[in-house]
Formats: sequence, C-alpha cells, structure tokens
Amino acid sequence: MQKSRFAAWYVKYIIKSPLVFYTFLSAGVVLFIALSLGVRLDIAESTQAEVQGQQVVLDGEYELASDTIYLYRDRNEQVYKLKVATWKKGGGSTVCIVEDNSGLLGRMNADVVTGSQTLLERIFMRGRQA
Amino acid sequence: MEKRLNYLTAIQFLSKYIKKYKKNFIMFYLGWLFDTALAVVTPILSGIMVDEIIYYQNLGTFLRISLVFAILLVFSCILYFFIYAQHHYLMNRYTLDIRRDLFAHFQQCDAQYLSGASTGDMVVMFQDYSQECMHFVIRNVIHFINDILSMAAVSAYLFLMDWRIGMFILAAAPVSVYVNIVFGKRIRGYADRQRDHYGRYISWVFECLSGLRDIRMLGAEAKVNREFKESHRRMFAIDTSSGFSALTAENLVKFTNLLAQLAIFVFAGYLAKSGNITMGSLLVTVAFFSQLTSGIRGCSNKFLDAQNRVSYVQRVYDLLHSPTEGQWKGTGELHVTRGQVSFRQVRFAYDKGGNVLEGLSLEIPAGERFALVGRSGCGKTTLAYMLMGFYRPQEGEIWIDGQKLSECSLRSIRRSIGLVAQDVLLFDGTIKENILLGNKKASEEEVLSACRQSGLLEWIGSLPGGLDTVVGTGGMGLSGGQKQRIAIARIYLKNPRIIIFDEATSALDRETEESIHEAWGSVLAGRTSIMIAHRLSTVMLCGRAAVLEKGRIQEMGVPEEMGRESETFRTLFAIKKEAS
Repeated sequence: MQKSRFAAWYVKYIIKSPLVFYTFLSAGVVLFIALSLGVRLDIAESTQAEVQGQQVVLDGEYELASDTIYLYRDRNEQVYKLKVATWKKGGGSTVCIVEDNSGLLGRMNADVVTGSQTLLERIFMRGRQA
Repeated sequence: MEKRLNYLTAIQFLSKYIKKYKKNFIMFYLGWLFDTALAVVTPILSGIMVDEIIYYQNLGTFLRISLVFAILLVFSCILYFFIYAQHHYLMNRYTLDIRRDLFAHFQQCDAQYLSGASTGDMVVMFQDYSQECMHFVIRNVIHFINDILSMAAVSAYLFLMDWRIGMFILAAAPVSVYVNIVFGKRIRGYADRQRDHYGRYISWVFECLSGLRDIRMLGAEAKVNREFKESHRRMFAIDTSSGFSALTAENLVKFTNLLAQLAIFVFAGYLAKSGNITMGSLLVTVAFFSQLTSGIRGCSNKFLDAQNRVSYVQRVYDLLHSPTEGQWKGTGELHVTRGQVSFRQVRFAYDKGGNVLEGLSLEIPAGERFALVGRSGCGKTTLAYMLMGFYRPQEGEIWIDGQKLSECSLRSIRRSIGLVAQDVLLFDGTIKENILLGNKKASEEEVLSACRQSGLLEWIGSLPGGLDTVVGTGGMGLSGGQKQRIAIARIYLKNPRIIIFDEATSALDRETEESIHEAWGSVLAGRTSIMIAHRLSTVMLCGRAAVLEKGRIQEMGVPEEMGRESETFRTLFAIKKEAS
C-alpha cells in the first residue's frame, strides 16, 4: 500500500512532533495578550450629580480622564452621554460645563471616566466598579 | 478477582499505557485546558462588550473587543483540530496496545483458566472493553479534571464579583458531591453484575449461532427463544436498576442546582435593578452559573459513569493478571529418544468441580500404540493434554524417558510431542504455509515428502496452484479428510517421538477414516502414540487399550481380548457378546 506523503507529513508534524502544536499555542497566547493590551477601556466611577442648565455639579472631586460624562436616573433604562466643555474641581465637588444638557434637570446619577485600563486587566480583575 | 479496582487504582493500572504516549497525552490535555480557559474568558468578553455598547455607546471599543472575540473563536476552531487529531491517534494506538497485551496474554493463558473462561466474554473484552479503557482515561479522567478546573475558575470569578453569589454556590456543591458518592457505589455494583451477565450472554449467543442447524434439527427454537428472552430480561433488570440509580442521582443534583440557580438569578436580578451590578455583569453571572451547573452535572455524570467504566477496566485487569504458562517452573530441555511415558499417582481437578483424575498411574512403553477409552468427560483428553503441559497435576508426576515433565520447559515439551486433533486448525494462507506450521524451516523437498506420506500429493498435483493454493476463509474449503492429511503432513515435518491423536477421525466417514488410518501407518512406525477414540476401528489399531473411569484406569489390555472379556469395553463400543 503506497503511503500518502500528506499522511506521513500529518503524522510527523501534527501528531508526533509537539513543535507545531506548542508554536500554535504560544502564538495564540501572545496574540491574545497583545490584542488585549492594545484595547483600552474606560474606568468609570459612579456618583451623584446636580444638573442646573449647562452646569453639572458632581458630588466629590474627580480628575476627568475623558471629555464625556454619563447621566442617568436608572442605568438600565436611559443613559445620557454628555460632552464636557470645561471642568473644575474644588470644595468637595467637581463642576462640569456641558455643551448640551439634553433637557436634563435636577438630581441624577453620573458615571465619570477617571482613567483607563487594558482589556487584559479588565478580564482578570473583578469587573467594572458599580 | 485479583484486587478490586477503584477510580484511582484503575488510573494506576492504565498509567503504563499512558506513559508510553506521555507526549501526546500532554498535548491532548493542554489543548483541552486551553479550550476550558477560552470557555471561561469568552463570557467575560461578552459582558464587557454589552456594557460598553448598552451603557456607554462606545462602538469603537465594542468593535475592537469583537475582533478579539472573533480571533479567539478562530483560535478555538484550530485548537479543536489539534485536540481531535491527538484524540484519534491516542484512541487507536492506546486501544491497540491494550488489545495487543490482551491477545498476547490469551496466547499464554493457563489452560486451566481458559477452560473456565467463556469465549464470548473474551471477545467482548478484547473488542469493547479495551476501548472503554481509553474512554475512561479521556472522559472520566482528563475531561473530569478540566470540568473541575473550569468550575473552580468560574466559582472563583463569581465569588470575586459578589461574595453573596459565591455563598449560594458553596451551599449547593456539597449536596451534589454527597449524592454522587452514595449513588456511585451503587452503580459500581450494578456495573459489575452487568459485565458478568453480558459476558455469559455473548458466549451463549456464540454457541447458538454456531449450532443453529442443531437447534432446528432438535426443534429447540422455542427453548432457545425462551432463554434469549430470559437473558435479556435479566440484563434489562440490571440495566433498569443501574439506570434508575443514575437517573435519581442526576435529578437530585439537577434539583439542587436548580434551587441554587433560582436563588442566584433572583438575587443577581435584584442587584442589577438596584444598579449594584451592570447588565454585562449580570450576563456574565448567568453565563457562568449555567457553565457551573452544567459542569457540576457533567462531573456528576462522569463520576457515575466512571463507576461503570471501572468495571470494564477491572475485567481487563483481571485477565491480564490471570495465571499464564509463564508460571510453569520447568526450564530444562526435554530430550525424547525413545518415547516412554509414565504417569505416577496423578491427581487433577479443574478450578470448579471434583477430581477428574484420581491417583492415576500408567506406563506406556516406547514405540507403543496405546488407546485411551472411556465415557465422555472421564478425563481422557485432560490426561493427554497434561502430557503437553497444558495442565499441571495437583499431585503426582509425569515422566518421559526418565525426565520429570515439571522440570522441563514447555517449549521443549511441545517440540517433542505432536497432536492431531479432531478440529484441524487451518490459517488463511497457502497449503504450503499451513503444512510448514509443523516445521517452519523445512525445505520444499521435505514438504513434498510429507505430502506424499500423508496421501496429499496426488490431490495437490490436481490443483492449479499446487502447494500455493490458498485455503481458509478467503480461499478454498477443505474436507475433513483433507484437513486430517494436512495434520499428518505437519506431524511428518515436526517428527516428534510421541504423538497424541485426540478423536482425530471421529467426524469422518468410514471410508475416509480407513484411508487416514492407512496414512497413519508410516507416521506411527517407531513412535509412541496415544489415541483417544470413541471408534472401535481406531482402538483396534493399538497394541493396548486402557479404560478410564472415575479418574482411574479401570481396565487395561489388548483390544481384541478386551472386546471378548470386558463388559465395560463391550458396552463402550456396543459390541455384542459372542454366544459361547
């Protein structure tokens, strides 16, 4: 019976030799780590806020890492993404001037972006802080 | 049974086969480990993607994470290719190794052990149980370990997400473990009974299939059908009990998991509604808990299933540790120059049952033709086979030319004694290859001479292929007489000083038997021959005959004289007493 060259190659490199397999695994792990390190996710902290026209006053002093804040009454219903023109912290609060307040007024919840982390860090940490 | 295996000792027993393919098993295991890791990571990625798009409308981030997700899926597909390549390789090679050991052991098995073993059982062991050994390693060891690791990783993540969710899991887990331990023992018991019964059943089926004509001739179809139904009824009863236990265990585990699942979903839903966890985290909780429950169910099934499989491994273990001819202590070389045989106070019993031979003593001088006669089951064949080392006497000794048989090696004993049985074993091959089984080193001239002496030459000459004619299942079929002549030709080539004829011509018609007897004429010259026969014509070829009864020689003498003077001899051969 003539042995197929492909069959001989298959047995030699796929079955008997671990080289191809370990190379594949290593490449997979390296690729995953590289991709996960390349994707950055915002770290958001939740707080209370008072919306007064274009001005949004956050409870607590925060260093904003992004020009976006998120306002909502119930996170599972509607979240408003607002662009921050300027902000200043002091006196136990952070005052943000937004470009368009989407008609919002009064006491609300707010998520503030205070930093970023890689996807790899997010997977192996406890998940977003609520 | 040598020892009763449990889960760990079964792994220990199979580890010698695993070690041989250590590299492949490591690759196989790593493949599954990475697959398990992917199964843990992918729900987390899904959760993050959901949060990013639902709450924060970050389409760019969502798409980037999707890319990572897609690459992981592709990686997973290629990984499966490697995993299944190793699986197929290991399945074939590992199973082959076990079957090779089993087959080698069958060849070496002590004849006394084999006489109590059932053929069907051995076939099933060889074909099915060897494969189950591999399934045990893959499903009940490797996959089991991965399931546990997966459950540990998922439980740890859930605990870290919220310790209260983790507590629900901890409450459910011990119940599942307890249920599995209790039911596992029961299932193992059922599995052992099932294996025993199944082996006997297969043997019975073999016998029925080979005796279908006899069944019809005897009009025993109804009886056989009843026995068939009864066998199945018993197997069904054991299967039902075993299945009931497994089902009860499975459902108890499922119920416990369901309660824990309901509690977790209600609690996680409350946390999501009150904003304490995000939708993505809820998704991860649900996915992980589903993974956890299926992991617990999977582990439970694998553990219960392992009890079943350990009984398969047990049967393989028992066979590989059964007595072999390797335990024969003799190592000396048997030199047979004259062919004098001596049985001195020989006692023998099979494992089950009383003594077959009871202090039997018998002297057969060199060159004598000696007939052993007696009712069926009196021990004639046992006595003859003891001469070839198939059975060891519990007491007494057998001597050949002044040498103790127990001190000689089996190889030298069997080299010095020839056997012509009723059923002549023919392998699929040419006539020449079959005759050369008598002496593989014989030349072409020696083979032709053997064929001439045994009366085969004329017939072989008439065949187009001559000696190269293929016989056996793939070739030409042979008559009883032709097979007997091949057996005689083998004896010529082997050239032993002692020959045993075990009912060699019982299945032949008178005319064929007479021609075979003529062929025996020259082969018996100068050799000691022991003939076990139920036919008077064969016994009459001998110089002396002995009647075996109740494990001893009852009468002995010249066959013609015994035919006149011995009532027992006359009864055996239905000889009418001559009127005085």
